[in-house]
Amino acid sequence: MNEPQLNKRLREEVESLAPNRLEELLAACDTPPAPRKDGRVINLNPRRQSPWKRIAALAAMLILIIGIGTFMGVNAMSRTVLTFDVNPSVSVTVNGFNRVCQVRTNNSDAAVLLANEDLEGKTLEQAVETLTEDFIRAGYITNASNGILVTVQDASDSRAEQLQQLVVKSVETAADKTSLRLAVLYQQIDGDQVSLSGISAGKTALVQTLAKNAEGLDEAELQSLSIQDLFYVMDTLAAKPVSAKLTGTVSRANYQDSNVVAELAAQICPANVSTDAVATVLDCFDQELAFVANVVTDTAEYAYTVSATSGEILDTIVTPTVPPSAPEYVPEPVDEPEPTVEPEPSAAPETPAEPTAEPVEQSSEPVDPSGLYEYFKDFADLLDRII
Amino acid sequence: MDEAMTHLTPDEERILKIANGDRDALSTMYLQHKGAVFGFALSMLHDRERAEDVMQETFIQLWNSAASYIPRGKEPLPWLLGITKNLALRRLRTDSLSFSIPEDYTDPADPLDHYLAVENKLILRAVVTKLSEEEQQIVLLHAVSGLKHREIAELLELPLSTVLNKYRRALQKLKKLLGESL
Repeated sequence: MNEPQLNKRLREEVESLAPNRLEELLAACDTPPAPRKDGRVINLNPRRQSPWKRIAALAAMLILIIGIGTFMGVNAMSRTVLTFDVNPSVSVTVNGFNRVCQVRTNNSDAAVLLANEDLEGKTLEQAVETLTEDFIRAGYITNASNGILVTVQDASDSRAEQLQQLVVKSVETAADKTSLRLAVLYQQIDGDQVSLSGISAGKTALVQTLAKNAEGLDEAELQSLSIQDLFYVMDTLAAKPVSAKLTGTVSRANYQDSNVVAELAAQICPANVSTDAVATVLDCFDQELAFVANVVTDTAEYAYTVSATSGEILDTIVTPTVPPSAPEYVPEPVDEPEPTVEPEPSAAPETPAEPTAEPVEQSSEPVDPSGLYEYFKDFADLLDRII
Repeated sequence: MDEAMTHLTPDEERILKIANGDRDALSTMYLQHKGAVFGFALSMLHDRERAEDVMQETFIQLWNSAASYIPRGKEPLPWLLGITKNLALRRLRTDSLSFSIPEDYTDPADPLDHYLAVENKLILRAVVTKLSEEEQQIVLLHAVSGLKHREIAELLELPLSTVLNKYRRALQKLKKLLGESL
């Protein structure tokens, strides 16, 4: 007997054994069955809901929708401009979600650099990393020239802080790939910051800050310098903008040390002077950052203009020193003026006239006005020297 | 699940009719499945009369609970046998509480065995007397009720592999026994 046969016989046996008590069953089922419950949702809380609850729920939902919509809208509409100055200058506009919505090149270097780069739609982190890598690849950033100026405009303090962290982190991420150590100066400026001709608003703000601190440099001269030069000036003069934050160390590898410049000046000076006698000051010579080394001797004053980068002597000015003991005119003390002696028409003019206690009349000859001017000018010079 | 979207089996349609008070549908279901219900109840209770009672109670329960059945487009027999199982277990509990064995009790010949012998139910007798309880249930559910092994596993709350093993083992035993008898 195989399995199907076994099962068939077993089924027949059981079927035949099962009694047929249908009548009995139908008699027991004379009452209709319990009605079918169509609703499959069981309301465990059948209390009637107050209409105010519905209204409140709707209002809450409406507020939530408006809130989310406003949040999304504000973030989508808000615009913050970040400008990256290396020497290529690029302005990146990001929305509230830190996504790049516009890229503007501020000079020809940047235009060439980003000719084939599409940063729009990228996150700020991606854009900054790409920009930094491009700067490095093109040789604008090296270990010797490691400064990046990042300027944020139209941002609240908290927003600027948030962006700074993102930017610095992204710059460092990109730099780490090439083991470069960068110096990032991050500054926040007003949206209405005026730009000097040909440079970005961020660089303008830095130039204006440095001009207030640099003795021998004015805005026009600083404007012509590179970002690394400006970083060097800032570092040398300790003139970092108060609100700006500097991460990393400004490289000085391409620049001469002021002490070295002083030694050079002392060596080339014809007079035998020590280095301590040389005063150096930062200056600009033909749009090049330079030191002016100043040496004053008894006989002359020497001004050596030395390139801050190459150490080459760009200019030398020697001015003979006028000895204070040889004035052309010896003026009289102001409070005790010597009485004017009328020259005698006699043959012995060298004999001085006797001073008299009585006031002497002024010469009847008219006084030359130019001579009087010279007189007072010389007197003023003498006072200056004494002081 | 939306009934309109579900393809109903004939038995499911009958259950829906029963829910609406259709006694003919109940009669059809009874005549079609009383053997499976009785056999399963018998495998659990080992008593013909109590198995008959449970069979009747199962269909009364079907009448009363048809409205709670959710059609799924599958045969509803496992659901019906689930009712049988619960009723049989309840019956076993109540009987064990009300029945106590006297100290001088001596086990007579099994009345079911005797009954099946008289009725010449050779195979069923072998099933009831020679197989373990689980083996009986599995064999009867498969042979009589036509349940698939997976459905038996769900109904008896056993692993499928256990059901398959026990079924194979039971079948070998039966073949051996019946080979000797036949």
